[in-house]
Amino acid sequence: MMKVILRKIEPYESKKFSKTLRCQKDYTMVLLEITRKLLNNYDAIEKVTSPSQAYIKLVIDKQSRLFVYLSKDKYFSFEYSNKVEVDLYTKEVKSIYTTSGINCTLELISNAISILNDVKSDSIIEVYESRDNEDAFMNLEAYKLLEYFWAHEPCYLRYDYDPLNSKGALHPLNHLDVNISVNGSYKIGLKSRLAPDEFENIVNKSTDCYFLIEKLPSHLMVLKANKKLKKKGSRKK
Amino acid sequence: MNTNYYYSNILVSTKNKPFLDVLQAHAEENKHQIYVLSGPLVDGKYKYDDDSLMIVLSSKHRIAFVTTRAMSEDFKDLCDDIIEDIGSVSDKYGYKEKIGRPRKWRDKLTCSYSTCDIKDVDRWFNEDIALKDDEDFRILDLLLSLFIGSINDIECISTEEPDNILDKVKNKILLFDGQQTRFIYEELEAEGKRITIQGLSGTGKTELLMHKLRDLYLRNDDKAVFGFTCYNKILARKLRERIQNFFNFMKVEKQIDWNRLLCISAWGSHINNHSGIYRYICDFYDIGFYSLREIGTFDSACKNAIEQVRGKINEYGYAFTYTFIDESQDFKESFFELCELVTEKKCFVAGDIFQSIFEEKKQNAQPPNFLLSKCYRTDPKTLMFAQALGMGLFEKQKLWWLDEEQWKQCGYTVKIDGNQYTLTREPLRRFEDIDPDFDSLKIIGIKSLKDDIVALIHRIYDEFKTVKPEDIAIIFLDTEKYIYQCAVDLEHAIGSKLGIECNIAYESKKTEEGKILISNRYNVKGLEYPFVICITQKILRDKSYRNTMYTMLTRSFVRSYLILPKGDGNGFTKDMYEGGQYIMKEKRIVITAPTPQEQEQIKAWIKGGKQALSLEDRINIIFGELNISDTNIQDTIKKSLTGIPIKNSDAKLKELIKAFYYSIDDESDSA
Repeated sequence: MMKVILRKIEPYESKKFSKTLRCQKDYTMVLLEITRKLLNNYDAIEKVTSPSQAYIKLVIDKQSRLFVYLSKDKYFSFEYSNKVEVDLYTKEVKSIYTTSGINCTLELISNAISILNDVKSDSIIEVYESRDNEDAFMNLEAYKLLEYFWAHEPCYLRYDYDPLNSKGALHPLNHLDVNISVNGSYKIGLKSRLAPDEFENIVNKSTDCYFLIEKLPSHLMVLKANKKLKKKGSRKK
Repeated sequence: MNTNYYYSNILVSTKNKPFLDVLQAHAEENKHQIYVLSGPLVDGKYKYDDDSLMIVLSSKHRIAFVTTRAMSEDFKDLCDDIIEDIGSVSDKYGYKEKIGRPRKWRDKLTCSYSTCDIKDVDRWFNEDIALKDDEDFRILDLLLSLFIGSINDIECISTEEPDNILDKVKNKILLFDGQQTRFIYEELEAEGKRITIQGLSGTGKTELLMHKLRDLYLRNDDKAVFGFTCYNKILARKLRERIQNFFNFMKVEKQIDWNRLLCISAWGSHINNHSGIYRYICDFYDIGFYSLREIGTFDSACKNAIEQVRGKINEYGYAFTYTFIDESQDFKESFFELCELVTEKKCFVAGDIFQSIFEEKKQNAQPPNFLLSKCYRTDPKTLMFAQALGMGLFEKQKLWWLDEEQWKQCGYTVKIDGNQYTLTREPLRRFEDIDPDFDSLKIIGIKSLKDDIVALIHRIYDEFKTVKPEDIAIIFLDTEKYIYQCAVDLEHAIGSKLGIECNIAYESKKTEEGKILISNRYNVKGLEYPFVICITQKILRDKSYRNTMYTMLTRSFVRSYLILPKGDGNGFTKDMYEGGQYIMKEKRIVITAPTPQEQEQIKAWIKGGKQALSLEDRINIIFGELNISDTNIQDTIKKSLTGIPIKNSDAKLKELIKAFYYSIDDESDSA
């Protein structure tokens, strides 16, 4: 049966979730922070009452997906494969396990974040190798948890309504960003705004697919044609 | 002789001796800092061709240029030159914006005299050169700081006296004392290769190392290699940032070349040659490097390196010209020996005396070259209370006891009457403007951690209007897992109720502006905050816990709070409460010395508790004892040990490891 878990994002913590993800380290950090947030039930909400409310939504079904709604203009999603145990009566999250069986306790998450902050040039093993007596408080399982999160495929998709940076068809006003890494990511332009449920439908395998019908929306086709004409005109002169 | 209150670099002669003697006696008697210099110490380049010149500097007194000859036009010209030089120093360090050009202050704040005209030196000092107008005090202090090179970050200092306690302490213009000045500016040739500085935490050891580093960095050519290190990786990273900032605001024009100023932790890793001092040494002398997993302890690694390096010095030369070791109490002697061996000129070693005072090997060792007994960070009342709690002085069975000499080394004035000890500390300049009865340490019993801490922060904001989030640090003294939940709870409560962000420093490993710091005992070394809130479930009778409690409570420079659960069972007794109240009111500790028998018990307890090693350390030592060197087997055993509670006794731990080891052997045999 499908489960939905909602957590509101308070203004003081919004920076933790709104950082632009550029590399695996950024993604792993957000994933750890979100897991910690899911374990803490005090920000649990049953439904979203205000459109300006920032929140996290975890949908657990055949495939589990996380949705992070930062504002009505920006949201992103990635796959969340961890097993979330929810109390039947109180609906509180009791525990979260990785598919490899690691219990994601607050201690392990905290230790993993601490290690992650030491990671330079993408090497966890280097941090592990250079640990000293001062790291004695660190639980060694945290390295495994970190490795698990790190190695996971993010399946990242982001919706952006971006009037500040929009630039014709190169950076459409409404667009989807696919993938995280600077070199591997790309945009898909949208004709109009995308509502949260539409966004969720895109990544939901059990609903109908979306189609890329035309390369450019009509107004941009006209704009492009006009530009071409202008260019031709200036050459003739 | 130079002391804490008196510093002079004047060559004593029959002509100046009577004058200097009176000033020194005055400084000592009144506990008032006086410097008598032959020229500004800053930047080491101001030398004047007049051996009769004495520049007398002291807070709240005009800068006096004194000659032992009769006053002459030449001497007056010399005074003008010095004022001009200080004017240019003031420009260099950005002070000019705040204190103005020399013409603004020269008449009010400087004067010149001949000793021939000074009939009574005491009177001259107390009356003739005393500065009356307190509006000029701060400008004068800034000028003094320029003379002695105790440069303050001018961005953070105003020339107007702040109107509240917090800013008064924050904005206090810091001036080196006599010992500190001597350490920075004297050649120390006679002192041998290793120079040790010891003092309580907050005595300014690291700051001094940095001043010395800057001085030597500027004075040496581009071939000199400097090593600056400590045990902890995070602290090493912070030190590097501090050096960068320090060099910036000290206007070091030479670009820092990090390849010849290695500010790294002591150990390091295989992958990077520049990841640790020991790692660098191994690379430099082409010897084998061992990680924690390979050799067990850093001590063994250093001993091993010493053996191998010894024969190679002639061939390979010295790895470093100078080395600086901070937090030396974290190391065994072998690391200092190794550093001394590979260092050409001087090896500066700074550490906390209180933490090493009990280690027997150090009792027989040479006394430190510099003993810093004045703790500049914390209000003496806080220090006394924290130390008394840490040592269990208010308990029937005390946990620690120091002899008269050791109390003095820790900066106490000791009065012994029979078996009653009265311990006092001298007041500090930093806190001189604060009401002496200000409560600098408070102990609070709470019911709900989240609500009560939020309420406390609220009260701090009410009482100190100019407080900023980064002025507050919340530190968990305990190591139990509950702190991970509490840290998240607190972050949430502070964020949602007060709208203030928190920085969980054991995760971020950095300090951040605009955020309240939350940390555990491992990640606050070397840091200080106006307000420190220490949280614990129970005051334990455990050496490492008490030591932590003392060091954490003394990280504040306005007020420390000790937070305990309300009710019985929190370990806080009526005697502790009354002892604390007495210290706050009377500014002294009065205690009965333990009987000789009790002292024996204490020594035995300390000896037993001395090995406050981590579980990982203890396991590694046992691996060494049992000759288990295969890292795969070590990992398997460590894995088997997780979750098993019988780990308090080393004997039991050894038995367990043995059992696991043999069972692995059996399995591989049968396979």
